[in-house]
Amino acid sequence: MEVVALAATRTAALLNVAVALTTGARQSQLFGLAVLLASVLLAESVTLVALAVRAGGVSPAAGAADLCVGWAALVCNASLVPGSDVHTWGFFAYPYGLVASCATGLAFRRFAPVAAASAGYALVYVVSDHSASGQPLWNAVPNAGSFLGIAPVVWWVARQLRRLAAELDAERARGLALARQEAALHERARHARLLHDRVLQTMETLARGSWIQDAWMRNQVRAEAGWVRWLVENGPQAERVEDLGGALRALAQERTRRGLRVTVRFPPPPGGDFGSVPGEVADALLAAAHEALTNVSKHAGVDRASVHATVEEDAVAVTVVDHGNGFDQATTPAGIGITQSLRARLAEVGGTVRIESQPGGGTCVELRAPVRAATPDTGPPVP
Amino acid sequence: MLRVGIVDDHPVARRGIAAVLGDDPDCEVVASVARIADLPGPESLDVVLCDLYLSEGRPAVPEVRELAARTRVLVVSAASQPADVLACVAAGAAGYLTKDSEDDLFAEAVRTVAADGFYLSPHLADVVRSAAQAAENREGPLLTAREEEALGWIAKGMTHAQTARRMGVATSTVDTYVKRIRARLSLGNKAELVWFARNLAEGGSADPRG
Repeated sequence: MEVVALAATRTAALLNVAVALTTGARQSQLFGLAVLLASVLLAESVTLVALAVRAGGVSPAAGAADLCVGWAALVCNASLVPGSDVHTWGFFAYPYGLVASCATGLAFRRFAPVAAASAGYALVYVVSDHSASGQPLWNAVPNAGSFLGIAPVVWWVARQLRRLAAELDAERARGLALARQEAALHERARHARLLHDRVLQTMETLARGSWIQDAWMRNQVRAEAGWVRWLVENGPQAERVEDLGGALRALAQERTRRGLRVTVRFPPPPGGDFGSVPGEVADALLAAAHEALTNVSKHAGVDRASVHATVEEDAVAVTVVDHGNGFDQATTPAGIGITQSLRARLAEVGGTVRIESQPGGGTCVELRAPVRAATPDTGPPVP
Repeated sequence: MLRVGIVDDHPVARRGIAAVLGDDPDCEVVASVARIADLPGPESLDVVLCDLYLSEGRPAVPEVRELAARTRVLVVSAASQPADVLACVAAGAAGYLTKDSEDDLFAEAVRTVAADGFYLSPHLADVVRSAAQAAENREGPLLTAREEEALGWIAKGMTHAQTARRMGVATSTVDTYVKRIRARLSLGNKAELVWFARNLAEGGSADPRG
């Protein structure tokens, strides 16, 4: 767009020169020199436009060079015309310079150089006009004023256009990124659907009931089915085990292989996004969940348990639930295995353990830890 | 004896569900078909276990709505988007169960639905709770604090009895909370919940400010 504007304004400027050479300037005794000057302007303009085409815009350096040529043209042209001809077509550098100064507005991004260049043009014109015509300086001021307007207006318009273009580009880039994301999601969903329809449903059916007689084999199929389900529901990042969600899933799989069917569940994000859980907190929760599941195997008298994990505001909670034997919290001595090491592990990261159980009513172990680093107690002082 | 129908386009899955329910002396699987249209007289069935993704490449929400007008529908599905889950409950499904659920949950769900109850699986509880919490930022609370608390415990895998104990209320109170939650899902605010669930499903921020 800039290049087109440059080429158009420069063509218009040269048209002024052509008109001048075919009309007024012909009478000049120095016609040959005028043609030479016009040729120089033509060559310089062509070079400027060519440079702009290559660079995709007018560089400040090219703009400055062009400015010097414009000023030099005013001075040279003024010396070619006799005094009385300075206000005729003979002084073609003036109309040429007016239109050509558009390039200045395109070349500089900041306003100061544009203003300075325009003022420079006006000054050079006034001096040239005065030296050629011998008239008082102030006679040339009205004509010189035109220089002050053109480049700044072009500069302002170019700036608005550039801003719009940048916005348009950003918008287009955003659209492209969204489209790419959409396509990736679509592809992922398609793969997941295929995996789900053709493999997972069969594996999950085999994993339940008595289709497979051998319990060990059934547990392996169940564990693998759990992995495939995880993959289908979470996509490629399901391979990551470093975050709490992945680690709990791996733990569940390991236990499932050994005969305790563990279901792991998270809420949809943000609750199920464990990116904010610090490594040591995840480790502590994982170790505690490990132990809670071991307790289910040893004491609950059932072969299944569920693990739920969620991030809630500034804490992360992992809950291990079974529907087994349970125990009487009033009579079972707190300590052995269950509470002590669980609580100690969680206390290290500022977390807490809550155990809820009743004979015949199952057991619920809730592990909670702050997501942000534990800070000294800043609550109100206890009276 | 409960008369049960199964709709699933996957023959292995159909066979698997039939086997699970076949072990239950109170259930009789009288129809096992690939399409809802193939069900012989849905009105004569006590419960229809219906897959949510029936080869159309979209969730069968309109079909569930139509079927729910004629009989009790328990949606049984696998990998499902939270928005789809909420949409089928809003369309009148009396419960939702994931296909990898334990055998006894299938029996429990069928019994609950056959008794005109609402089977709130842990998975569904998680979805409803997330959507309600997200909607709360914009619309104000959609559930009471106690209802939301009950949802939280059920999502963690607790039975109604365990939830009641944890909350210090009677089991029947938890049953009432669950009934109210269903009413909120199928009336009034459902559009908001579904909208937020869709937002959650697409991984965007459910917070309108984000």
